Amino acid sequence: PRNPPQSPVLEFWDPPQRFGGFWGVLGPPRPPNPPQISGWFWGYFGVFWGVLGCLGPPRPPNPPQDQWVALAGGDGAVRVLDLESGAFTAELRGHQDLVHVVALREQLPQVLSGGEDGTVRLWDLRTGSQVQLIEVHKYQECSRPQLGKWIRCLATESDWMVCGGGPALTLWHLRSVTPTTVFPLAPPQHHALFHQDMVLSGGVGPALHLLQLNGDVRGRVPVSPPALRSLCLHPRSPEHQVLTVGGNSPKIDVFTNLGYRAFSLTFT
Amino acid sequence: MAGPLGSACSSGSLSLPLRAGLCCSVTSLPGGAEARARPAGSTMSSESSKKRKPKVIRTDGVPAEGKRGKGDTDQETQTLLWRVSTKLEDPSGICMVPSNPPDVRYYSEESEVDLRDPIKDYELYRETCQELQRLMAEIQELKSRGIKENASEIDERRVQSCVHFMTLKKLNRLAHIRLKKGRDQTHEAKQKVDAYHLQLQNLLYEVMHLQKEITKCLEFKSKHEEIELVSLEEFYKEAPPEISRPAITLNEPHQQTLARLDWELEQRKRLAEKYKECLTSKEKILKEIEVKKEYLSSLQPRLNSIMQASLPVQEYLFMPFDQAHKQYETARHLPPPLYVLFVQASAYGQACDKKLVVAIEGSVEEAKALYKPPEDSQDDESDSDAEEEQTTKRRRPTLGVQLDDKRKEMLKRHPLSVTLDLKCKDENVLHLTFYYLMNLNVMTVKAKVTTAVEMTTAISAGDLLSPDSLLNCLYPGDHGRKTPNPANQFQFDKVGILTLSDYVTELGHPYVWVQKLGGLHFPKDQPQHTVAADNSLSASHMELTVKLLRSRLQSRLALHKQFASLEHGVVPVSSECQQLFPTKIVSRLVKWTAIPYEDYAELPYTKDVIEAGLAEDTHLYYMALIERGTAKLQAAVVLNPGYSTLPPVFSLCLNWKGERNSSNDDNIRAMESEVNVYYKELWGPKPGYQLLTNQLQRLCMVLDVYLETEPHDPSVEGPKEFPQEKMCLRLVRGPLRLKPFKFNYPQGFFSHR
Repeated sequence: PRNPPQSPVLEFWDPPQRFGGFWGVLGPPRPPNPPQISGWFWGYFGVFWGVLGCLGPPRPPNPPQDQWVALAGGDGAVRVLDLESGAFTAELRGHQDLVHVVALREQLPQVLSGGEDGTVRLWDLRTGSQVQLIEVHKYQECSRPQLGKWIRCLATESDWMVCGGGPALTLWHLRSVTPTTVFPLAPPQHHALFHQDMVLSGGVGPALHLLQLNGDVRGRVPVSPPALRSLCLHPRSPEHQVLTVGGNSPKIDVFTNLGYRAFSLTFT
Repeated sequence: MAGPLGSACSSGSLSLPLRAGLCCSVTSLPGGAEARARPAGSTMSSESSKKRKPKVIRTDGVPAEGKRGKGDTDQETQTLLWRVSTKLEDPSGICMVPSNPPDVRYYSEESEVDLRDPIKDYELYRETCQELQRLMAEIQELKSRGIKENASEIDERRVQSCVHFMTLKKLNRLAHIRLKKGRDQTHEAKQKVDAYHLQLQNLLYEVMHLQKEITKCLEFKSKHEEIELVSLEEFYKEAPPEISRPAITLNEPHQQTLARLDWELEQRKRLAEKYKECLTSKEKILKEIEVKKEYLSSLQPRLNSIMQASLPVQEYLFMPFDQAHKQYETARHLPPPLYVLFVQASAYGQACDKKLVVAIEGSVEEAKALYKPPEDSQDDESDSDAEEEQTTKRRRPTLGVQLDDKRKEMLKRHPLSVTLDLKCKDENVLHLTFYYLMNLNVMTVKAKVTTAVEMTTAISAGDLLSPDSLLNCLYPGDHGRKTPNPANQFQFDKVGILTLSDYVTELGHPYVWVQKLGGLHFPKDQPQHTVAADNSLSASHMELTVKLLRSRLQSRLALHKQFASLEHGVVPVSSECQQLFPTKIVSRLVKWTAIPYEDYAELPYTKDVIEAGLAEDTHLYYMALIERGTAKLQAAVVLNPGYSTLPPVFSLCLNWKGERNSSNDDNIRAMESEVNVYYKELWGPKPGYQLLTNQLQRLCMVLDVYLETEPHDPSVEGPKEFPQEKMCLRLVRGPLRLKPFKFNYPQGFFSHR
């Protein structure tokens, strides 16, 4: 009998500079234990308690000597967890419903979060308060009421943001808070990434979408899982381009060239 | 006759004795000559002279010529010669004087020979011959002159020549004597040499003979060497001293051997005696055995009569030994695997399971006929040969018919079979008949179910209790369509049988557990020539198999009942399971049908299940349809023969505002997992046969939740089709945004897992 994977089971990303190796964070709850977040790195094993939710990938932290993670909570709060001490340094409340996704802005010490209530909020990490609120579902261009208003995927790069879910995947200009491009993808998207001059996204439907910033669909690459949940790019070297995608399937697809799937990893 | 030796003559000194002799002879000769008158005249003398002459010729040829010549010319000379010759006839020349006065001297010419020198004699001879020739010449001369004047000279010369003749005669004698002596000597010597030679020969011969004898003796193999004698140490140890005589035998090997032989002989005598004794005792014992055998054989009929007599008692006491005995009698004719099965099953039945009944069916005579000895069938064969010839004349059987016959022969069953009846608590009985295919060395089973109560057969339940599929996959993977004996493949190839599954309907299924019950164990990859029935294998599987059979029967019967209800649209939920579900469930089961495997495989949403290996052609497939309002949920069910330990697997497809299934809707996947993954909650009371119905009920429940928690679409006018009536804590949770499908009892609300 199949065990459908719930939430991102494993998300790998590039570790903060001080630590070496991989960071893996595991999310699903195992009742009756409270949900926990565990992290491994080469040095030692540390367990941090947290709340079920999505995890925002930490960029090279800013300032570099601080190691912290932004966590999206199922209770509607965004928390900042200090990796060294294992304690929450900030709790950002504002969402009405569970928070699906967080993203960090590079230049500014800000966190974006998107949630079930259909809003994207910007938070200032220094003050710990909400800076901006974007109600995506209220914009005609992108809202799709038949699917819902929930925001599932969020990604940001300098002044740009892409978000989607129930509403269509849209490219936003953050300064002016305007949706500039609506990508013509029918099914709800679960994860989106900025990559070079493209947006990669995946969602319901066995395809990885390569989208150009002007709204053209550059390509649809078939993948093994019938729905994608998570995309991950190797951020470091531009010449070794590796993209891994995972979804509701026992296979993880690996791409070395964004045009086609190279091979799949399977658990045995 | 012999004149005295001493009378002197005028001739030479050397010829003195000769002359004397000659003179004597002259004087007395005429008397003697007349006394010894010879009938023949000159011829005789010539003969004798001729006799002599050859001898003389041998020694000296020339004078003989002269002598001859002389003889012819003168008659008187001849007479004289004759006289001389007669004298010469006596070669010994010994003038014996018998009864003479003592002073008579006699001489032996033989000894004279030794004294004289032969060369000188030869010279004398030559001289004399020359003289004679001269005298004769002178006489001739004188005679030619005239007879009167020379008569006295002639006489003188004549006398001289006579004297010469005497000399010649003597010389001749001497020569002869010498010759004779020489010859005698030679002869003697020769004889000696011969004698030595003979001796030598004799000796050599003897030597050879002796050598041969020696060789023979050396090669002689005495019989005593062929006898193995005991070793020396043993001999000295065991033999009594009078035989072994160590004092003597240790020194002399010959005596030692003799002693050893003696001992051997004694030992052999003793052993021969022992042997005779043993023979006699053996005879005795044989006789005793005979007697006892007779006694025992007379016992058997008596025992039988006692058994007969005890039958009424057995019946009275409810101990049917006789019946069991009869069964064992028949069991003796069973082939080994069936026999093992019979023994193990009876043992198990007696020990652990009173509701297991074992019996043997079939024809014992036929079984006996299988092992008929070949002599009896000789006549039959000859008859059948004759018959066969006749039939071939009429009609040749086609190749197909021949092959068919061969196939039938290969698949022949043993006439006896073992039946097992498994009774369940509710009086349903599972009848199993086990057959043995002799040529293939496999066992097969046929199953039949008799129910206590007449069951209304639901249409979809047709296959549940069918004998073909009832015992499918009792153990995982044991589908009974292939013969478990790898060697059979080669046998099949010969007669053109592809696979045994073509014949299972009439022969029964050759499940692997059946082979194990019969003690036949076939290793996986290597065909073995013969596999003997093994009791321990059967015993270890008996209990488990019987339990599985029972549970299989029970589960099938339970399903049968359930299907009957499902077909009417009612999901039968027992009272113990009511707490799994809320009191009000609006979705209803409207259809329940059996579908073939091919249809199942064609459905687009069942691919994952097939790929995961959970749906094979040995499984049973059904389609359920659950409806609420405009929403239709299709559920394709694959039922494993090992229900209910192995749960059925559902694949869902919801038709409501589009087709949603597990690949495009996470909630549908969640619903599937509710019934497929969390089935353990749905087993219900102990045997767990209610799993299927509980699963169906849960499907109805989650469909309700799904439809009611669907967010309202503001673009569509009008109220929601399905107002929310279920109590839910949260509508959405997690990144997958799943609905709350878990029902909490007794509070009655739905939450997420």
